[in-house]
Parts: sequence; structure tokens; C-alpha cells
Amino acid sequence: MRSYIFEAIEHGKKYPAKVFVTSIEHSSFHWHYEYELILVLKGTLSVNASPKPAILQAGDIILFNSKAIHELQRTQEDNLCLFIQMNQCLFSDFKDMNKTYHFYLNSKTDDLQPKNGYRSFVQLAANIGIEFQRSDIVGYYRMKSLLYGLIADLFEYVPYEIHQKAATSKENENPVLLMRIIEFIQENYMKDNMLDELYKELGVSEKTVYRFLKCNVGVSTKELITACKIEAAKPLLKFSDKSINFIADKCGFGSENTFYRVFKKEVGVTPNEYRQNGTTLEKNPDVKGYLSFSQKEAAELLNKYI
Amino acid sequence: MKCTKKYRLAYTEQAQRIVSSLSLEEKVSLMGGNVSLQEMLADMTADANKHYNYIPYPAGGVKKADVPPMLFCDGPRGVVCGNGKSTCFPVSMLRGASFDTKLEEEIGHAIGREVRAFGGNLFAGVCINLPYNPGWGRSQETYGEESFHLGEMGSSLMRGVQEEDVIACIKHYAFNQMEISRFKVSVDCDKRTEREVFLPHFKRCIDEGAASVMSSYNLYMGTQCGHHNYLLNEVLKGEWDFDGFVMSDFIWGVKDTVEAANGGQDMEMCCTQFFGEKLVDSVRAGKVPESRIDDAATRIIRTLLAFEDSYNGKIDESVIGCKDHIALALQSAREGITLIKNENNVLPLEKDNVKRVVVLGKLGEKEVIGDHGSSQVHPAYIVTPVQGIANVNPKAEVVYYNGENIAHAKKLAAYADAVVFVVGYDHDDEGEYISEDQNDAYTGAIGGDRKNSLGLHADEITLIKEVGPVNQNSIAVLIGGNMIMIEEWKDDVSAVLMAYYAGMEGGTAIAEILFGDVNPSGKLPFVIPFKESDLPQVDWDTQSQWYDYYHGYTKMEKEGVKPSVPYGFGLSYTSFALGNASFGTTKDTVTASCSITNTGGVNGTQVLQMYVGFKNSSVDRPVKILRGFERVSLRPGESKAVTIDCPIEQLCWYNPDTEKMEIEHMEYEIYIGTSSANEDLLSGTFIL
Repeated sequence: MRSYIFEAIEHGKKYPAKVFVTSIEHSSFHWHYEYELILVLKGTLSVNASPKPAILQAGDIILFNSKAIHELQRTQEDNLCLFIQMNQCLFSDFKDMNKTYHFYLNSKTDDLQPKNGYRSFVQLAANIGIEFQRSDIVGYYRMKSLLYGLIADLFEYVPYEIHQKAATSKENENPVLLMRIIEFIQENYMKDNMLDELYKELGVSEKTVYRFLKCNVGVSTKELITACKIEAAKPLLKFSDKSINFIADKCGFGSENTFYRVFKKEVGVTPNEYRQNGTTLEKNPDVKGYLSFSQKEAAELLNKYI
Repeated sequence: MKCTKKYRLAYTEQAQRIVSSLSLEEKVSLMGGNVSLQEMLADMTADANKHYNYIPYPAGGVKKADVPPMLFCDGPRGVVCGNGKSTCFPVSMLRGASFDTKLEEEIGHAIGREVRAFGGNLFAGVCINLPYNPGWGRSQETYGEESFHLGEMGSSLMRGVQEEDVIACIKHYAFNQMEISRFKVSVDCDKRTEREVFLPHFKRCIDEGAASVMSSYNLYMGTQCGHHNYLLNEVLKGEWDFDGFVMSDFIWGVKDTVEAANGGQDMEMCCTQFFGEKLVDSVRAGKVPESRIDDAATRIIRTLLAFEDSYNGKIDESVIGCKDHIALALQSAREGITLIKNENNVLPLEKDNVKRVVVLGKLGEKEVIGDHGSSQVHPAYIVTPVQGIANVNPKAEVVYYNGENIAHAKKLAAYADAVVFVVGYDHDDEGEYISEDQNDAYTGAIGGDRKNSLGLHADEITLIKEVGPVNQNSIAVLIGGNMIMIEEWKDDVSAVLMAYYAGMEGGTAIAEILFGDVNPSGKLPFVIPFKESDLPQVDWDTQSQWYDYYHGYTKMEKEGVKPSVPYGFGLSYTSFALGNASFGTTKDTVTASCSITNTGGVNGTQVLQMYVGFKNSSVDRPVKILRGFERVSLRPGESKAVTIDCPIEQLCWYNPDTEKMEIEHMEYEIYIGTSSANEDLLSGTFIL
């Protein structure tokens, strides 16, 4: 099984959302807690996600639900996309934390369309992209209002399902605990006795951690650790001249052999091959595969959609 | 019950002494509500955290004479006061379906305690109107279509409330079973219909000791019920010897000072508009005798003194919405929810095999507990059906979708192990109605009667018909306050569960029944016809309406029309065998006995029903009517002998020539069994 990469998205202090425009080269299968709205501003973007892969064109809009696994890839032509990553706390029922909402917004599908059409969502997204550039107090409140307006529109016009968990269920998602488990693993994956420390530190059993991750994220503890190790190894391979042995040790693979075997299995190439050619990789590991682009062009394109 | 009629009458002299010490103004002040219209509207509109009857509404009270005010709390779903506190019980219609008078009395106790904890001393939630047609928008506030059953259930609630030293108010007296026209309609019927169909349940509650009565808005034979000399003075206070006080329905229940006072109205609620100064003036002008004022004041003071003296003052706020009361609300929902259809025993669902449940229909995730009018209760929480299902089967994946896109609903249904349609009504479809010309008290809900259809909404019917056949384990859960037509779609689902408005724990009870944690035992307190036209027809927006002698199951049986689902019908997850029926009479009662055995594999409860038939009557009488019932719980293989009896006076008919309730001396048919359908009954005869 391929392990999916968890992407930690840091939000600005101001809003529980992150907005940016970027070109996508390749963002391999990953998931995050945030609901992610993408508006293609230019070119085309290949999207691999449930229910079926699609090629989005300029003007298309898609929403990835919280924890939905997806892959984004450049096609033959260059692209420019607006990303609005919204914290899942924005989508909670204040009365019942056991609900999660699953929206169907994808302008490439015909079967489940928003009641008010796609155009108003495109406009709203473009507006958010524009207002986000502002740093004054007007922009601050404008952003908030647009963001909440977008969420209200999703609930009012977009078909959605509710996934209901039991109030007393042990498998029940406890976002705080889940985040602590994931953060602990991300920070300590390279340590030998990391898991024992985790169980001790958070006061949870091995079984609980496993069940928790499997139930809420869909990966096992081991798969998550492996994914963390590989993601840590990639930039070291690409941007440092450290030896393979050093990297294997630093990232907690234990031995060079294990490093080779696991890396080859998960990435499809050996660490050396990856170092030689491999996929393009940005220095900033948070935002993988985002290319540089002209801010001016982005602003012009956004204005086109409002 | 400490505050019996006898106990209350012992306060007569003390009350009369107080009355004689009061001025005319003081006496009249007892006869009206102390709330101004502005104050009431402010509760409803000015503060979002407040609402109608947020605090008990006071009337009267004279400090210098130590006469406490009457402190009014509305119901019947629980106590309307407060916000996020009270226990929200299932609506009366569901409680009627439980046929459990003991549980109803316990609910009365719980409600009585909560009334006291809110500082009230009167509960106006014993609603026993008989829905002539199930389209009546406030049917949810009453117990069913059968007068005898209404009397049994209503008097049980009343007893429980009054045993907590809270005055129970019986409403709406009388002939109030049309909502949209409630302020203008005059109901007419013949004397036999009045005495045999629409009044016996009121009489029953008075006989059992109810201490207060609310007059209705509508007119009877052209006279406003709040002014009705015949209904209030002659029947209630005269023939039935009622010792308590009458109050008007709110604001529009009294429309004329002199007519109301002389007609027997004791208290104008909840704002004093036609009583107060106007009544003082009318007495001074000789239009209302002062003895009438003394009578009203004596009734009010006597009742209040008796109940306040009896109350020990020990109930505090901790009882409001307490664990025990919520457990009672859950128990009630478990007992009342009624299984109407269960093809191939698709229910109960097996928790181990049902890993993915899809819930469809707009009501699946709504907090629906009934209408948003004067009966709205404000509990701390409400469990929705989808929450209940997830809680009861935590291992299952539970997905809710409103069902608007049929193709998507089908896709979800195809991959599910079970599909639950939650369909029916909310407060916009039925409930208390304020017409636009009186919209200063508009509650925000549309409500009213179901004047267009007694069926589901068109989109719900489409959803069930299209998506139901996709999955063999498809179940329709019906939400509503009275009968919902099922003919159009019943073949497209495997099971049908009538859930009424099941209260704050309704979602839990629905799920427990779906998954077999609870074996259903509710019985329909109404008949479901094949065609709406099989029922008596009503013009919902009218100034006059005739009520026939026959309605509901008695009408259909008399006309030989087969029902789709009979009155008193409800399925169980176990099976029962009846035998050894015997019937007889004593001096005062008629008796039916039989043995009942649980022949299935799980614990179960059956409601045995006794019907009496009048084939040999010399006058036009129903084929048969319910005259007794008993809940029996049995373990698998267990047998019990059950005896149901009924006072012979309950078999009377009203002879218009002698103007008396009379017993016919003839051979009667008698039945005992599990529904009103003949195939579910053992029969015999007796002679009086």
C-alpha cells in the first residue's frame, strides 16, 4: 500500500485559512485536515482524487474535503492556481463535534451541481484571492466576511453528506489528541524508541494510537512514520551532499539497506537515482511542488474571475 | 392524590371568608392574567433567549389576604418555561400510542415537579381534544382519536401532575380540533355526538379530580366556548359538579365582558382585556351579578389554597431536566414508537452485519420535537435520528444525505447495508397557527392544519419510490403528530416505523428499535385508511363545521370500509398467542379475560385491547368501540392471564328524548385482542 503524506498547513494568525496562488508541478498523494478549494486560473491541472481523476481547465473549481487524499499534477501546459485552505474548525456544528461534512463541489462533474451554479463560487474564490493580498484592517474584515460567506454558500447550495460518529465512540475523532499524535511522530520519527515515548507522553496505548490513525487518517502508525522519514530524506538527497549512509541514519531508517528498500518501494526509485534526477522538489517542504510565478499575472487573472 | 376534590372542598369556608373580606376590585383582579400583551410579546420577540411562557405567567393574587397568584406553565410535551433546561417528552400522540397509563402518570409527576421548580403552580398541558380528522395541526398535543383512550391517558397525566401539588388544567374545552379556523369556526353537531364522542373524556378527567379547565377559542353552536353558558355553567359546573376554575385560552379566548362572566368564565388569560375594570363596571351596572364574581373568586381561591397548602416547598431547580426525567422521556419514546410494517423481518437490523447505514430525507438530521407554538419545550439537547443511529451502533459508518439528488441517493443506497428514510413533518407543516391578521403574536412557524394532504411531501414520496427498491433493507421512519398516509409508497420499503415527535431522546429510541435493543410495543392511536376520503371531511378554513357522530375507525367500520392499518395496530419482534378468552359482567363492570403467551424468541410487550360491540342496539351505534386496554410484558415462552374491565356506565348512549346517558338492555358483543381488526380479536357476548 502506498502511504499518503500528511501535509501540515500552517495558518496565518489572522484567519483559520491560508490563501495563495501558485503553479503546480507535482504534489503527490497527500491529505490534510483543511478543506482545500482550488480555482484554476490558467492552463490545466490534472487531479487524482475520488471519485475519478479529472483534468481541470482555467475557470474550473474543485473542493477537497478534510482528509480527502488527492494528487495534483501539471499537464503539458503551465498552470496557475488559487488555493484556499480552510481549517476544518470552520466547518463544525457547534452543537455536535461528532459530525463531519463532505461536500460535492467539482465543476468537472455533472451529477451533483451546486444549486446556484459554479460561477458564484468562482467569483467568491477570486475575490478571496484578491482581498488576501491586503494587509490593512479593511482587508482583514473583508477576508473574514468572504470566507464565512463562502462556507455559508457551501452549506446552502452545495450537496453534502454528513458523516456521523457516535457521541461515546472510542474511535471517535478527538482532533486535539489526533494532532498531538501526528505532531509527535513528525517531530520524533527519527528516534529509535519514539513510539514508547509517544505512548508514555500522551498516555495512550499502542492499540489506541493505531486504531485512532487508521480510523481517522486511514494509515497505520508504521505507515505514517515511514512517510515522515521519506519526506525528511527527500530534501537532504536533493539539496545536500551528505552521504546516503548519513541520511539513512539521520532520518531514522536504521541501516542503509533498509533506507534503499523502503525508499524504492515508496517512491519508486532508489535514493541515488532520486538524487541524480528524480522529481522536481521545492526547498520549502511545506509546499511541495509549487513553482514560482508572476504576482502581477496572478492579480490580473484573479480580477478576470470576479 | 392529596389535592382531591374532597380535600379542596374543605377549603370552601376559608375561601368564602377571604372573598367576603375583599373589595369588588380585588375579587375581579383574581379573575384575570397579570401579564400585559406587550410583556408577552417582548418575551417572544425582544430577547432571543426568551420565548412564550419563559417564566410562569401569573394571574390574580391578593397579598393582603394571602391569596397566592395562579402561576401558569404550558405544555403538554413537558414544561414550556426556561431555556435549555426542561425535559422534552415525546408529544402526547406518541404517549397515547404507548397505551401506558402508569408511565403517563409518572410523566405527570415529572412535569409537576418541573413546574414547581420553575416556580409555577399550574400545568396547562392536559390536552384531550379528539381529532375529528387527523389533519388537525395540533393533534400532536392529544392522545388519539378514541374518546375512552383520551380519558384514560388524560386523567393519568392529570393525576401525576396533581399528586405533585400542581393544578392540572384540562384543555381545550370543547370541540377544538381545527387550527386555522380556531378563532372563527362554530362547530355544530347533534346531542348524541356531543355527549358520546366529544365530551366523555372531559367528564372523565373532571370525575377523576381535575382542578382547572381551559375553554377553547372556537364557537360551539354559534357561541364562543369561553362564554358558553351551556358548556361551562350547565354541563361542567352543573351536571359534572366541577369545583375548580375555568380559564380562557390566551388573548382571544374572551371577547365580551358580560357574556363571558355570565357564561361561567372564571379567569381571562393571560392578559386582562375584557375583565378587570370593565368587569367591575359591568357588575356596578347590574349586568353581571356580584354573586357570579364571588363564585369565581371562591373557586380560584379555594383551588389555590388547597394546592399551595399541600405543597411542601421542597422542590428545587435540580429536578429540571434531571437524569431521571430524561430517562422517563426515553422510556416513553421506546414504548410509543409503532412498527407498522416489517416485511421479511427486515427489522431489527443486526449490528454486526450492518456496517454502513445511509440516512436519507431532510428530517434525518433535524432536531424535530414538534410544533413551535405554545407547546414548544426548550430542552438542553435533542438527539436527531442520525445521531441516535451512530450512538446506538458506534461501529457502523453512518452517512446522512438529504436526498435531493435522486441519482446520488441511489448510489449511496446501493452501497449501504441499510437505508433509513426519515420523512414526515416539522413545525412548518403542522402546528399552532397564527393567521396573518393576528400576526402580532406570530411565532415564526407556519404550522396550521394539513389542509392539502395527509400524505408525505411530493419530494419524499419520489425519494422513497425511487431509492427504496435499490436496497432490500430499506426502512421508512415517519415523523408527525397524527396519521400519515402510506399507500402511495408503502410497497417500496421493507419496513415502516411511526415515530411521531419522539422528544429529546427520540433519535436514541428510534435507533434502539431499528437495531433491536428495544422491541417495539406502540400501537396506533388512530386508523390509517386506504383513502383520505374514507375519513370525515373538514373544511379547514371556515366559519362553520358540522361534526358527524362517526369519525376514524368507527366511521370506517360502520361503513364497511377496510382500513389500510387498523386502530390499535402495532408489530413486535416477537410473536404472541392468545387463548382461553372469557367474558362476563359484575354488578358495575364488564370483563374480558384471556391468556397470552410470548411464542417468539425475545422479550416483548403487547397491548391487549377490549372492544364492545352494539349490533343489537335499537339505535344507531358503532360496530364496536374500545373500552379497555392493558400492557403486558412477557419473556419468551412466558404466559400470563390478563383481565380487563370497564365500568358499565362507559357503555351508555345519550338518549335525546330523556336527555340522559342510558344503558341498553340487550346482548353485547365483546372482544379482546391485539388491535381493532376482527382477525386480531377473540370474541364473545354478554347480556345486560
